[in-house]
Parts: sequence; structure tokens; C-alpha cells
Amino acid sequence: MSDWRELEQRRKELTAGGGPSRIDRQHKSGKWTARERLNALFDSGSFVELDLFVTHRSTLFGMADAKAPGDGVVTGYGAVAGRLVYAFAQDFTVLGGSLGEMHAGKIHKVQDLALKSGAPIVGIIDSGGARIQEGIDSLNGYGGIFLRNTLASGVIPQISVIVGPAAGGAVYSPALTDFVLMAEGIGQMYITGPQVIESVTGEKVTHEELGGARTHARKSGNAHLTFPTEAELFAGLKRLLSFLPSNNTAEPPRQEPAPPPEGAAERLRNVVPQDPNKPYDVRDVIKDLCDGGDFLEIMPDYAKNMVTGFGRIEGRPVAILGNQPRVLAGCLDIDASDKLARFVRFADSFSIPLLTFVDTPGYLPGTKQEYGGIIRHGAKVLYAYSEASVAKVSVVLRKAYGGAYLAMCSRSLGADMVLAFPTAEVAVMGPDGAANIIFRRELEAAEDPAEERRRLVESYRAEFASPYVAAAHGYVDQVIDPAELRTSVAHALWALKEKREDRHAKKHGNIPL
Amino acid sequence: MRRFHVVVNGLSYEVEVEEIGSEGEPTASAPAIASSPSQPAAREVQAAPAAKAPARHAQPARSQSAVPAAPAASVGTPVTAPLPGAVLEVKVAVGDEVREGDVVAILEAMKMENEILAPCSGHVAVVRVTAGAAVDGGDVLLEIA
Repeated sequence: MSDWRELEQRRKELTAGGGPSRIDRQHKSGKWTARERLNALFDSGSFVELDLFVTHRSTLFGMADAKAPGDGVVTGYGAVAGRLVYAFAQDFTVLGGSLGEMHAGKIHKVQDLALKSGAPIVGIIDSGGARIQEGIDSLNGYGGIFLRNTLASGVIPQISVIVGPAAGGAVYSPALTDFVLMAEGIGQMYITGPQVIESVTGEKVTHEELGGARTHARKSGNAHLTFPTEAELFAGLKRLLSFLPSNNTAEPPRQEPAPPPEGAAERLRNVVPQDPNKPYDVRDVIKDLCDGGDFLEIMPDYAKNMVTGFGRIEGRPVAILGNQPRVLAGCLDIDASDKLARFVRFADSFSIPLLTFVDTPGYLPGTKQEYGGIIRHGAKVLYAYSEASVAKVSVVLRKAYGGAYLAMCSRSLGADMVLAFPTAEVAVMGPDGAANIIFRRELEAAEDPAEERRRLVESYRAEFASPYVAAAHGYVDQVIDPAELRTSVAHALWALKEKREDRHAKKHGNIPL
Repeated sequence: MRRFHVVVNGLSYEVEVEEIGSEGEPTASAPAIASSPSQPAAREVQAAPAAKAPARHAQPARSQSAVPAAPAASVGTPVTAPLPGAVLEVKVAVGDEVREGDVVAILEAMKMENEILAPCSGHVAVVRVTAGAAVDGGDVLLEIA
């Protein structure tokens, strides 16, 4: 019977994964199977599976007779919105999705293919971890994945989807990739699990508290996007892919241009309050700027004083960053610096123009920040912006003072175009602080120091807390009517479309980490 | 008015409990709060949700106990000051229902009137600060249970 009928029979057995009872258990625990996940990711019928017949070759600890269809992982390629994407999905129904030598070998193969072909790769993680029976061969498998993740970094977009356990070494492949997406109540990541933690430190913590989607979205910053269900996760993943080019030499995918939301221009005139003490939501500015008001916020629940995400202007993807005056007054701190720097470097790697909105009073003061290393973390912001050779456009909305002004993609760090709203205040420091220093003698001599101070602060504000001094020195290229924001940004991006900036050849820089 | 001696976490508190009177009768709850000598600024406004009447007892009764009391045990999810500053306004009172993301207080810090948002939904259990109070980053402003 060695003909197509045998092939059909073999395929049928292997694509059934761990069999009906295990698949049933997978569904009962609220999870999809590896193949259901790949179907959700790829355009209908486009997925091509590789290495279906691969299985383990381990004989120790009773493994000789263990059946492992596909060795617990489904790999291949297909089309997402018509574009080539490689993927692997661990199959929890086969030996708990554990990673052995051949399982890892299948992953290595699609990693190599994705890198050679210049296509994004998606890793779908649902695994009990290393296959202990295969000993150091499974460890070697992890090492090979990490190495390939690193070599592919900055060449092809790499995305990890956490829809099951990822414990110990398994977490480091996702951590090395560009984006980590998690499903709430389903995906969990940690280095050491609750049992180990309790036995060593006595702390009691649940799996979900320790490594669930909420934790990584809010506390650790390991997750970039989280979703209530797997269905929403895969829809979100496709939306994310729609902003990303296939590789570092390809152009970001262009879509049909769409107008901004109705009434955007008028709203933009009023969104930044005249009173510098009043907060507002910088995302209101961003949404009214983007095509169709569509803004995909990345890490929306972590370091909320810094907003990062993707939008489109005239159909072209733009990486948008902004200080968030609503949270921590828009101060820069350790977490915001990390979030910003990583996002800037991703966008620069993949030729996505950077658009930065500036409204920050400075760095967050406090011993916690200083002891936590705000100096080296804050330096990442300077490094990332200076290093970026992609088009860099900045818009100063309001406060841009001192070191934080410099850090937020100022002209001095190589911004190609700097725009400013009339509400912008670009100066070495805020009026109150500056008046205390500059007018110290006048204040000491004054009969009514409080009144004199108020007067001097006002005079400093009138003279220096504006965009016009910076514009007079050429640090700001254009002061714009907020209603003209979209046109001005679109023009700037158009003028920088073919921007090229060569750097010294080097192995790589040494970003402060 | 009945008086109770309560021990929480090994610390002794003296508590006065008054039954809310019948309709029309002006009432006020006067919770006895153990204020800690180490935390002279711990302003605590703890009232029964039903207490609509003007608070008669502005001065919280001090613990008569000889045991120096620590800050009262927390009763819900704390809402903390994200950075050092001055409380400009507390927008909620004890018993108010709040939803996650509601503005519960305004904290002036870094020259900004920062909106302090409820981290979860629930009822305001305790308000620990009043307008004008200077707070440090991490200080508990109020608690939601």
C-alpha cells in the first residue's frame, strides 16, 4: 500500500497531534490547539507545513516507545494578508509541547528559512519546557533558538505569542524577540515558578499573579500587547504585522491613505491646555493625527508616562512616541526610558519613521530613580535617538526643558525636522527654577520678595517660555498652528522619504544597558 | 455610645461605636483612630457610609491605650501618590462608588495637576489625606474596597 493512500493515512495520524482526548483537554482548559492557532494566523488555506514526519530519536527513560507526532511542534510558512510569514506553534497535546532535540531542530529550520528569505517569524509558545528525558540535547536546542533570535534581530521582525506555559529558559526566546503578545489567563511566563519561589523565599504567589498577562503588561514590561482571548490575540497580531516591513531592507507596507477623524483639526487647536499645569491625554493628539484615527499602542499598560505605538500618515506606517502629561506629569523615568529606547531601536531597524511628541517637565526626581540607575537607563534614550538614522520628526507640544528637552529627539540629537505648537516652552529650565537662579540678587534685595518673585517669573515666562527663542536659534524649524499638524507632519515625512544617513562602519555600538 | 477594646496585629485600639439614630436625628460617626506618633500627618477620615450628617467631632479621639499604635491596618486596595507633591483636591468621600480609571484626587507635583485614578472599582473605604496635605511618593491617599 505504498502509494498516496499510505501518505494520506500517515498525514491523518500525524496531524491529529496528541489525539482526541488530549485535544479535548486542551479545549477544556480554554486553549486552542497548535493547528487552530496557525489557522487563525494565516490566510485561509495558505499554511504550508514542514517537517510533519520529524520525530524524536531518544531511547532513554522509556522514550523509545513514546509517540510524538511532529515531535510536539508544528512549523511552516504561509500568507498573512498576502505577505509571507514563517511560524512555529508548540503542540501541548504532544508530550506537553516539551522541547527536545528534534522539536528544537524544526524551530531552528524555520528560523533559518525566515532569516534567509527576509520574512517575519511568529513563535507560538505553549510548552512544559525542556524535555528532561533528552537531557542536554534539549538544552542545546534552546541555545540554538536564542542564537538565531539574536542573529535575526534587526533583520526580520520576530514576534512571540504566549498562549500557555513558558517557564525557565523557554522565556528567553520571547524576550529576545521584538514583540511579546499574551492571552490573559492562558499565557504565563516566569524564570522560576511558584513552587520554587515558595521553597526558597517562602513567598506564596499564584502562576497567574507571578507570570500572567496582566503582570507582564503592567509590572515587568515583558509583554507588549495582551488580549482577553486567543481570537482577539490573533486579530491583534495581524494588525501589528500590517505596520511592519518584511525585513530591514523592505519598505514598511503602504495602505490606501485615509483621512483623519472628522473634526480633528479643530480639536487639535484645543487639546493642549493653555495652563501649563493642566494635564491632557497625548493620545488625543496622536489619534487625531493618524489615518482613520487608527493608533496601535504598544505596551499601553507599562510606563504609561511614555506613549509608544504605530499609526499611519497618508497610508505610510509611522512609529509614534509621546510624553504623557496625564501620568507622572509626563516625567521621564527608568521604565519610560527603557520603553522608549527599545521602541525607537525597533523602528530604526525597520525603517519606520520616528515621530516624537514632546511635553515633559524633566526627569522624575527621587532616590528610587537615582539608585535604580536613571543615569544609565536615561542614557538609552539619548543613545537610541542619536543612533537612529531613519527620518526623525519632533513636535514640541508644550514643555521641553533642560536635559529632557535634549533627550526627546531634539535637533541636537539629530532630529531632521522640529515643529512646535505655539504653546511650546523650550528653555533650559522652567520659569520658577530659572527665576530663582538668574534673579537671586534682585530677589534678595527686594522689599517684597514674593511679589518681586512673581513678577520676575512672569517676565521670564513671557520672554523665554515659548517656542520663539528656540525658533530664532534654528532649533525649531517651524512653529505651527495645531490645526495644521497633520499637513505639516505629512509634508515633513514626505520631504524625508528618501533620507539617507551613513554611519561609521563598526561591529556594533555599545548602548548603555 | 459603646466602647470597645480591639487588638489588631498585636496593637491595641480603642474604638467607640455609636448606633446611627432614627430618621431626622442628626448623627455623626466618631471613629476613634489610633494615631501613630511616628506619623503625625496621618489624617484619617473614616466614616460609616450612611453618615450624611455634618461631622461634629472634628478631632478624632486619640487612643487611650498605652501601647503606641502603628498606622491602621489597610482595609482595601491602596491608592498611592505616584510622586511627591501636594494634594490639591480629594474628589471622593468615604462610601462613594468608584470605577477603575475614575479620577479620585488631584495631586500637584512637577508643576502639574496630576489626576490620580482609581486602580480598581469598588467603594472608597478610607480617605487618608485632605486637600493641602504634602505627600511623598508612595504614600497612601485613600483605599478602595
